[in-house]
Amino acid sequence: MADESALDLSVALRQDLVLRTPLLAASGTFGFGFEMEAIGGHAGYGAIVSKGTSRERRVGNEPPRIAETPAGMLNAIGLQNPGVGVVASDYAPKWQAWDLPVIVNVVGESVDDYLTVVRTLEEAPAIAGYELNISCPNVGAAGLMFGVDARLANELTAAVRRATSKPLIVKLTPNVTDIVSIALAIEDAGADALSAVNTYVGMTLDLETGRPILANEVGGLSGPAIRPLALHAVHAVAGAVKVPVIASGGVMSGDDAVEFLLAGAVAVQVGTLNFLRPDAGAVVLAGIEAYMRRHGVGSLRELGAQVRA
Amino acid sequence: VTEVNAAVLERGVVTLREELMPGVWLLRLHSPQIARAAEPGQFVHIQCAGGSDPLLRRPFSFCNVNVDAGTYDLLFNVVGDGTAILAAAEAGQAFEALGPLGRAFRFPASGTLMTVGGGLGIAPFPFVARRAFERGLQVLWVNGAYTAHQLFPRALPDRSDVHLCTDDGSIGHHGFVSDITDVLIDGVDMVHACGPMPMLVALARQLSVREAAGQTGPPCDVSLEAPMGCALGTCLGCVVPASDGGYARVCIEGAVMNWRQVDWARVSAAGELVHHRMRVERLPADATVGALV
Repeated sequence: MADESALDLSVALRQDLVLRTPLLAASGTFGFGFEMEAIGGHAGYGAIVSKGTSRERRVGNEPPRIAETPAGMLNAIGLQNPGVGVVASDYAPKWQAWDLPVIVNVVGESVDDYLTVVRTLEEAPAIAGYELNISCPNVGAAGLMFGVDARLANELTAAVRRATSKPLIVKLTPNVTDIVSIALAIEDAGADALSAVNTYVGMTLDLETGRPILANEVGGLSGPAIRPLALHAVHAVAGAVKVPVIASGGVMSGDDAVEFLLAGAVAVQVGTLNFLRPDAGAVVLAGIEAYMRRHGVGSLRELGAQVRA
Repeated sequence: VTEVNAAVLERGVVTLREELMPGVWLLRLHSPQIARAAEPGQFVHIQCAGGSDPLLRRPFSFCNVNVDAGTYDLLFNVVGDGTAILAAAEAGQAFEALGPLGRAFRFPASGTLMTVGGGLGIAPFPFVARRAFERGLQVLWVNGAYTAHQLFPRALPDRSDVHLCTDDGSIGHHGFVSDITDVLIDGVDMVHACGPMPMLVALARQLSVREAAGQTGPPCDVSLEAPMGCALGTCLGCVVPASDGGYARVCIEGAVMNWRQVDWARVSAAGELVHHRMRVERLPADATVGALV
């Protein structure tokens, strides 16, 4: 029998960042929120994570930038974005009118890049927090990605931590040998939450030319193809750290989101599904609600307690 | 921050599926909301699979629209998993469609519109021609293909001045669409073009040459194609080089763009891949089809 009483879907990423639903639109799948607002796509979400924002404008990679793969897709967009100046002066003021928090995803090739972006945004209105994309090559460390090295990840997080008191999330890359050690290093540096995981590195070839389909040759794999891999990573990280873990990896339904919550995530990012339907947030949220009613769970806190029991 | 079309999600129910020539299909979907809102040059994004494979929707321009019947037609060839599913659809089967999406073709106030279709780039022009006639325009219909049977027979509108060409000379002019446009372009009031990138590059070159010589060419809108993800402007997957030095999204800034918005030099530089795609699109040489006209 359907229980029509109100469900408590709220989750706290930090004491001062409480989301009305556990769903975040994943970075790179929602732009800066405007296109999706116009088509009603904000419904269901508790927060938006913006497209990766860099110090300067980036035009992005040559096409082809995307390639479909079994139950997934590869992308190599190349961090196309207008630069932090435009985000701070043009976009952020428009976000003020929304009742949906916007977390800005920050990219850079040096610690200084990240700090410049964050410091610029500290002056802008309506920034609910930051998510650091640490899957970019660090030009100062011979192209080594911040996210694959515990020490680099720790230093970057600590530096940004000193630059802002706002909620600070770091998005883990799964393309590492030991994701838990990197998660611990980032937690130790003062991150408020971790998102796990970013895309998996992959490639696909054109059988007629023998060459990669993507102009960038390699790209990031997302979609349901990676969900079991992401679930494994989320389970491992959530079991090791004390800060909230925001899951990300191929969520297509409410049941998929619940699976991540049961694995220890506090909130869930919806990514590739935003490319498939403009009502992705609403569809996933309705599925979570249906699950909670089916199982007589009144709040996500209660669901979380069941997990740990 | 860009404007976005007022697209809707609507189930499109198959009312007709017909193989016009081997491997080329016409699919008619009953989808009244989208049919009513559609403008020539716009497209729909169709979910072909019920599950996650193939994952992404597939974009198709409106080939024709019947507002009274609440239907629209798609013209496509089978190039992969998604189009194979559509080509096997039964009457009554439904596909979720998102649309109408993208920018539409502009029309001149009066005079002659030249529509230039290469291969299946002919797809949007039956709809364009009908709206052009409603506006009292003359249509100069240019259509090229590899060989005669690949020309889209039912697309020939009644009151148009038709110019056909084939790569193999089996019908019409033996040569390229761009041979015809180079002769006719100065006498028309606007050009709409859709087809392989080399054809569009050639057309853009003809317009550029005229400008360099101090002549004023007609306004020209091109309908572009690219591997597409979301069609909502967020994935940034379907881009083409833009004349501002960056990239333009085919789904939002297109699919119909003013030819001046495209950086044709950078498009040409990627030509090798484009030529490969053209080969794939060619039909078997033994394919046959009924009378052309």
